[in-house]
Amino acid sequence: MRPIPSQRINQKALTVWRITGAIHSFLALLLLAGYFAVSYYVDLPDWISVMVVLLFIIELLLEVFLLPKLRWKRWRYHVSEHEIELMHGVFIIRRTLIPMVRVQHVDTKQGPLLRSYKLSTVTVSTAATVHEIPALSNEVADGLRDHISQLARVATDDV
Amino acid sequence: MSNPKRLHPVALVLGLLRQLRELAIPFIVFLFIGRENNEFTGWYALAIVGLLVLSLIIGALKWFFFTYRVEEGELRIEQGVFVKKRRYIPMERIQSIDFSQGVVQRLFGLVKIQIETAGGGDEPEAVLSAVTKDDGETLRHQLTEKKSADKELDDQEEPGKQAIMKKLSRKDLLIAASTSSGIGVALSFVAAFGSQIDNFIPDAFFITLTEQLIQSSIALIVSVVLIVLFVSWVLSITGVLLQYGRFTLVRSGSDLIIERGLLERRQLTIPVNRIQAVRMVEGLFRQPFGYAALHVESGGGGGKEEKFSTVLFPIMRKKNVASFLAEVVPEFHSTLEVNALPSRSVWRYIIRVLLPVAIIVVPVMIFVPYGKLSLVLLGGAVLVGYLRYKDAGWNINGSFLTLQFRKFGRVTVLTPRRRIQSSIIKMSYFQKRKRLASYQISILSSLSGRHFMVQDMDEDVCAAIFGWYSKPDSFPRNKDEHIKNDR
Repeated sequence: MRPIPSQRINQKALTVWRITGAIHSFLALLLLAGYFAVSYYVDLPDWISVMVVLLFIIELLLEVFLLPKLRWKRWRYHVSEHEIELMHGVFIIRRTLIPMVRVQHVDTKQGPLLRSYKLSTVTVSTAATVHEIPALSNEVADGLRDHISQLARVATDDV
Repeated sequence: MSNPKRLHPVALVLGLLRQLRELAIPFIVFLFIGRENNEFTGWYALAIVGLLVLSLIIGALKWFFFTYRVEEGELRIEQGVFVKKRRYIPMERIQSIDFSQGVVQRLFGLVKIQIETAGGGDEPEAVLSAVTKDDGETLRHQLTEKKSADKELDDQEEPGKQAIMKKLSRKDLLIAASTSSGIGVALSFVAAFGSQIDNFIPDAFFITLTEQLIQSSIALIVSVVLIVLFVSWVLSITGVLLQYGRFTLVRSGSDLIIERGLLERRQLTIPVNRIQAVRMVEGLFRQPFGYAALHVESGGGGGKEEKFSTVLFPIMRKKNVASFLAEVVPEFHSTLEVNALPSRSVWRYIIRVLLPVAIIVVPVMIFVPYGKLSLVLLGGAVLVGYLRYKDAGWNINGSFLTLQFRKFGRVTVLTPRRRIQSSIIKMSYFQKRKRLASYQISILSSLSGRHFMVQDMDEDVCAAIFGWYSKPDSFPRNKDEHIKNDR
């Protein structure tokens, strides 16, 4: 197998993903509260309550602690003159190759959460697919976007 | 290059018909309201007539302001009564030109022209709803000729060279019709209908009669099912006959021109250098008899009924496919032979089908009387999994990648390296343990992108294809026993 791509994404991605995970867990907590509110009036077997609480704890552990870390450790990218290479995925490792001649356009985007941490996501579009490099610092993202756009402009080839 | 032209006046009628269809429901509601109040008087009639006249005037204005012309290598369409809309489509961007003739167009010797570019969405970029045949032909020449002048591809063609023409014989059409997978659709329709039948029969009637009738009703049900099956088969045959009747494929210069249809004639022009991939599909009912269908993926072309790809030829002997491609689209002549997957991936293929089936079947087996019969389903799942393993494969021939896989029918995809928009290797933990990985490519099709994947290939093979995609020269020749390359 060829060597893995060299660049990591910004470490602050970890914080952002944990916050996102915490928000998801909070929504799950609301569901949990809803369940117990119902069980106060309706008689439900205890083992279901135990299962529900267990599920919530597992979800919390995965989303806030385990997954962000694994995801961050796996994420790599590399941009060379002729191609863009990505590697990511926790359970299934995906390695993506996008030749520069196939790049149609490059964007950067950020939601409120990314913005408050001065991060941006770079999206690379081909005629058939869209690929993302998440959570790069604003400067790196802008630089990368301009760099790719320039390389893609040099290497043109019609669909 | 040409003066602005209007559509044939029949377009007016077509527009009016379409508008009436859209208005039909409000119209009917309107009529009923009038009746209920017992005041179906002159006012209502006047309003209805007024509405009709208004839509006629709007239609006429729209028709008057809709013009098209070819200028500076672009198809230029201008339309709009108050808000002017201009759409300029450069010829080089045109992916396909589709001529069709509905009943109205046929009556007046007209055609409807749909022009598609690589832009996404299921709507064509330009629709000229009624144009005389001559104007249509002129337009097609204008849009295809100049473009091909600057492609080196055509320099090889001598101007006097005869176009190649392939016709679908009547016998092949019948074979295509009777083996189409439309049967499957019809079958599921029958199943859905069958499960609804008892809803129409009152329960009491059902309960009292069931016991007495149970024996005779089995015969009845069987015969009803058989009749419905037969009817739906006939329907699906008719559908295919109407769609692909009088099918001809012409290779003329750098264009493919496909004509088909018994009632509604369609003519589709695809520039060969817009084809992204060729797909051979051996349907479930066709493979045993050695037949296959050929499709092409291009940015434009096929509508919803063809799942957004274009039928290059509805049916032919599999053994003739290679020579057919060599003759009609030599640009896509590559190998259809594939290298099989390593034997260690067979269990992953079987389990992938078996597991979901088992989750449903095992409880049924335990709790339902005669449930043991569903054991047959498990056997079927194993068989499907094994076939999928056996039919999966890959090959690389120069600048071409061949991928083969099966869902129900067997699909072989041929695509040149420069048409692959991106490549992905996927490897799960379990695949990694067995040194396997899945390879997925994405190509452009009329609905943004289309993905093809072969699962559980040898990890090293995936890496080699990845390397070939990155740098074609790096692909090993004869170095590795896994990687055969018959160039």
